[in-house]
Amino acid sequence: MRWGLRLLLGISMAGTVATCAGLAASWSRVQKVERSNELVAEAQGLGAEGRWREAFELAQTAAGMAPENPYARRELAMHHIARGEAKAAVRELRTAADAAPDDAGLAMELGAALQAAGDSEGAIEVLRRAASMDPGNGVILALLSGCLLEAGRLEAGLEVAEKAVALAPRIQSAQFNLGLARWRSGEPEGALQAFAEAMRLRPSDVSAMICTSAVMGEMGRSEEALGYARRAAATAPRNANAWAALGGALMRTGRRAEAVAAFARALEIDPEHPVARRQVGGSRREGTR
Amino acid sequence: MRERERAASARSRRVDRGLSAAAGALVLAAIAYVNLAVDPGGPIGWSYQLLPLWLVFAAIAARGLAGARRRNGEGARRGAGASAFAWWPVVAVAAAVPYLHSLSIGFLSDDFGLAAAARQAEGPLDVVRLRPYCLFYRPLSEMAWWAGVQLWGGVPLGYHLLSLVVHTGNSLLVYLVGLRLTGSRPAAGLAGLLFAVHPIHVEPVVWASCQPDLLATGLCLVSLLSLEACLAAGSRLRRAAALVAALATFLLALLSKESAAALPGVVVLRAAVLPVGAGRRSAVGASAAYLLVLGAFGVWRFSVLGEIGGYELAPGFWDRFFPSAPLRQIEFFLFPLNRQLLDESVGPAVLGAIVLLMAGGAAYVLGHLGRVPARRLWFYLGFVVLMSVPVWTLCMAITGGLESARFAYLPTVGLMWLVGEVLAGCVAGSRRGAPRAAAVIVLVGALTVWYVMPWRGADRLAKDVVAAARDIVRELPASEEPPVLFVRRLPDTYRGAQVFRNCFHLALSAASERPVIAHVVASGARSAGLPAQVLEVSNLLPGEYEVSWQEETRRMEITRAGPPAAGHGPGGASP
Repeated sequence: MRWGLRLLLGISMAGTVATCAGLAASWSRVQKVERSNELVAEAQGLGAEGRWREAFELAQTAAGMAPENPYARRELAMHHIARGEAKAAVRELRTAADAAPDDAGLAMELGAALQAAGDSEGAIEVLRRAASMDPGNGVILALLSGCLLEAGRLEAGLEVAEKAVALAPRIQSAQFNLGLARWRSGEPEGALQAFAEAMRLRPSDVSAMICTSAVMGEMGRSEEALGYARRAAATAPRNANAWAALGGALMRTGRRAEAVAAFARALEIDPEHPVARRQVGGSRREGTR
Repeated sequence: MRERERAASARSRRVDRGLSAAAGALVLAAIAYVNLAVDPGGPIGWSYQLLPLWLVFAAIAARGLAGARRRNGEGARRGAGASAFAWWPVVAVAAAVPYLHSLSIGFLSDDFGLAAAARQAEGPLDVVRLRPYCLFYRPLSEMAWWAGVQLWGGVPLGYHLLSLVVHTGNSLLVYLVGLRLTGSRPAAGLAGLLFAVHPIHVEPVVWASCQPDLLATGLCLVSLLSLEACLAAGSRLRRAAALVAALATFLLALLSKESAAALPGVVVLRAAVLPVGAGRRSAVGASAAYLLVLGAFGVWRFSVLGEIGGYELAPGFWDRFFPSAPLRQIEFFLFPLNRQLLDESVGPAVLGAIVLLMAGGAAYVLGHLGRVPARRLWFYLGFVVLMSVPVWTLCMAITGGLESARFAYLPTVGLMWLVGEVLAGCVAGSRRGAPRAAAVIVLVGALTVWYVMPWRGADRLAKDVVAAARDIVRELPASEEPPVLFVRRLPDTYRGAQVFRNCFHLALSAASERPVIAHVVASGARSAGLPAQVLEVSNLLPGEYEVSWQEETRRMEITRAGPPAAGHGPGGASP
């Protein structure tokens, strides 16, 4: 009994020493992460002032100082995205998400970066995981619905878009994706409703205007379609899709000359625009006949 | 030969004393250093939680090696006879005095939700239907809020007075139950005094929303007192009457707060560890009756909620199995540091002195554990562990600002009895014992008076925030629909005291002359408020405003506003 109690005392002393050693190690890690977080905050401040190069360098230092700090990695990834380096951003965000596997926000950002890098299937997988971590987050579901639609999974895309809108009706991208999914599923009325809501939430949403114009054109409401297409071209005069949509709407109302001019404008902006190339080519062929 | 054995035995005792002192000093020094240099409430990982475990190991081993001191029994007997000192009024006054300057504090955070439900209710049962605690089933506490509206018009002062009265009553009950357990007036009186003035109780006493904790603790103690009467009763009729009273108060405790659900475990422990006057069969019968009441309450609660209810938690392996809650409560009981207050108010030297003083107090208690009989020691420690079971994972949330210390209100009663008995043994054992015990109580009480100050600051802050938001609402253009505010940088706590962790929208609605909808913008997607991401990816609509609290100027500013209403009707923009 006495020796047992002495052993217990010994255990408590040895345990204390070991715990303090572990604590010292974790405290040193915590301090590094805190310093790295301070650098991240500084980098964000520099970014807000438009000093991107310095901000990028600071984010690199922060990530190098505490490689396990997911928020430093995320900051660096945001800079990579801004510099158009989608693959580097994906690499950083993947490391960050591995370091904080329970952080739904990081998983969501990784999903968005994968989508930007053109990996829709990878984005779907990551976003599904994020949605299971935080099922009430409409932003994640809105992103997921966009990826599903991009990957051609119409049924799943529609289901997720409906969930996203039910959870977060004020997110414009959720409304837009719902409109897109309904349109492709043959529900033009429902699609128009969702596109209208998307435009209400963001009056400058050119994609919703273009899609509304296209749906209305298909429904035979040519004049209304023309109105939306004109509005799209006026809102984003450097957007080739908007001019192509205007060309299509003009064509449907029989204003061929104006339509060719609109398609030509689209080709000026994007010489490879497939719809505009086809339409201008067709018009020229008709003209030579 | 005998002399040689005696010398060896004396040497062995010296070794044991040295080892015990070294182990205790090492663990306490480690805890004190961590409290000084790190912030145990901060993000330092789980390894820190092991230190209180080593402290308990060292205490148990040291107590075992030292053995029980005879003087303790003598002291207890002497104390039992000494009825000259009137503990009742001393405990009652000590419970009330440190909190007198908290009576002017208004409602904070969840208080607004409880007050709104109490005002909205048409009767005592209606408030239960409204269920301001949507995750829980606490009808008795909710009825107390309704009664407040009827009796004193629902003003905060009435609720603070009620909390103070219940806390005073609880301190007296700690004394009475302690008296039954130890048979020593000084031990019970010192336990009651310590409970009355301990700074870990500031949050439950000062914040009106913690009344469920106060009521549940009081009713559990009444139940234990009745149980003691039952186990000591001579006649069968008296036994039955006392048992009915014990079970009825246990049920009322469960209806106040579900943390009382651990009481049957304490009853079983009491029956197994401490002597029973009426025989073991009575004790086993009483334990079974408690478990039956608990089962019936579980069925009742499930039928009302449709689930067992409570916080949504997904504890990991560590949180599920490691006794973090009781160990953290033992540690916060011995080192009740409000780091957020101390770091901002005093320099490192004063903080160091306070921590050293606490470490000295803890060392004194550990060094004199031999004055507590082994069975009672096990009962007191078991009380802490069992009463912590309902908050096993939640207690991890006790922060460096002593936020969420309400979860320690009931479990630490076991530690109050333990320390009360140690102090009483020292009072009886030495001339300097009484002044030392008095000094401990005075110092601990002074800390409590100080720890109430952040709550007064939180009250001022909450009033400023609401007034600033009300001024903003007043200046907004008139509209048919109520304006919608998205509030950023809303202060949730002030040095560990609650400000607006919840219910800001209700506080603003009550203060504004016109209807208004307020959403608090949280920083993370998982936080309680509206996730900031949602606001960032969507435009504001007409009638919506993003406002931000400016801590420096104590004003609220509109940082973003939706477009004017004209031309943006609900039918969507026309081309």
